[in-house]
Amino acid sequence: MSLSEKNGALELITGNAVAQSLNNLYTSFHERRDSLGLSNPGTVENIAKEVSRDVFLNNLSFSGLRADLTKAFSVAPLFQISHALSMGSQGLPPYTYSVLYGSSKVFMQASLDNELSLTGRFNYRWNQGLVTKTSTQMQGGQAMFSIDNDYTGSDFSASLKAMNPNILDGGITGIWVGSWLQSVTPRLALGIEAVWQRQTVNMGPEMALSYAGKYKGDDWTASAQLLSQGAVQATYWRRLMDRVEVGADCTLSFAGLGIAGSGALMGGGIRKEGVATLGAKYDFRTQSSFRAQIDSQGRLGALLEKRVAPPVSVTFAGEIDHAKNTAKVGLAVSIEAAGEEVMEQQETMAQVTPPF
Amino acid sequence: MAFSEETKERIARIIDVSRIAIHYGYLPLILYLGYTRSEPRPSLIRSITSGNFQSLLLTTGRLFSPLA
Repeated sequence: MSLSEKNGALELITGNAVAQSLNNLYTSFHERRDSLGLSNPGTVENIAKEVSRDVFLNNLSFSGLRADLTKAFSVAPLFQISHALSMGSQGLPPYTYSVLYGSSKVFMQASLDNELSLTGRFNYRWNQGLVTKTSTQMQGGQAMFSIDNDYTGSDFSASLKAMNPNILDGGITGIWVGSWLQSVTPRLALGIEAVWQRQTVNMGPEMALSYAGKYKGDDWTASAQLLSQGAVQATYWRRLMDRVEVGADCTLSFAGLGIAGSGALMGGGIRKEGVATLGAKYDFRTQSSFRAQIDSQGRLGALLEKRVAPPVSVTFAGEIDHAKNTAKVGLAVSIEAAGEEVMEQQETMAQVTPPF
Repeated sequence: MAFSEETKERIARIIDVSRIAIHYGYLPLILYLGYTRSEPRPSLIRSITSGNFQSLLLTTGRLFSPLA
């Protein structure tokens, strides 16, 4: 068969009226979608990122003494090793050794603590949009494994996550989470998240749906989430001044709204709880910051991160719980050492962004 | 899903072995990748390839001490 005949045969398939009209429909749909000028809204998981990660100190707070020593060997590809020592803190092991390697395609990280438990992450970027993230935790004979596929589109984000998936027991078990966040207008994004879980084969699967919405203003962001089991979370974030950010979070849970039976069994009736949190963050000029927050349960927290010299930063964290009458303080010193060659490289070369 | 007992056992053993391999091999693998691919090469690798044992002794410490 000659080439022209082949093309002719192809043309018969692609060039007929039905295919062409479908093709036209597809291109016009895409043109319309592009003309809306929508941007990527982020992910459902990070819908309240500005408030809960940037302003609040939930993830940053700690107690006891901590020291981190990090040595960067190379910037592109990223390669660094670090030692973390801690004393008198809950949840943190006394010693952790961790290594990190990242190029533009892969990101690998492993940390081993003094009890030989390993936390490992391996992320791979297949193309511009699709990133697969795997993580594992091994402690003694137990292992946890999760795999997460994230797709970042031009105006939406989708992800499919599986935790401890297993098909060997004669059925699918584990926790599966699928989520989708779509920009509807340049400011508004709506999303949905579905969780499907089955602990063992002889237990029936459970399914839960939650909905999310996010609205971006000029210098503020508001988000709301309707979680399964009847909880509502609303957040508001605003940049007050160049260096000041504030955030508010209100979480109301009406346990027993979604699963009335189990709520009544456990709590002896419908339980209503609500927590409101207010926080602020001030950025200093020299990569230092101060955060403070107060919530309706009577907890007051503050965290000061101060870069004393370019390689040395000191973090001071304090929290007072007025309702329980407890307090905790934490002090951390982190030292980042890098060779002269690496320093020069950092200034001259473009940074690689590994698929974190 | 229908798996015979034998296949199940085999898969379970493969998972077990790979779990141990990851547990004790993943961190050294990253160290190896990092030391061989980073730019500039860490001096440990340079001294091994150049055969300068005195500097090798000096720089082995860098594997463990970030301040060395």
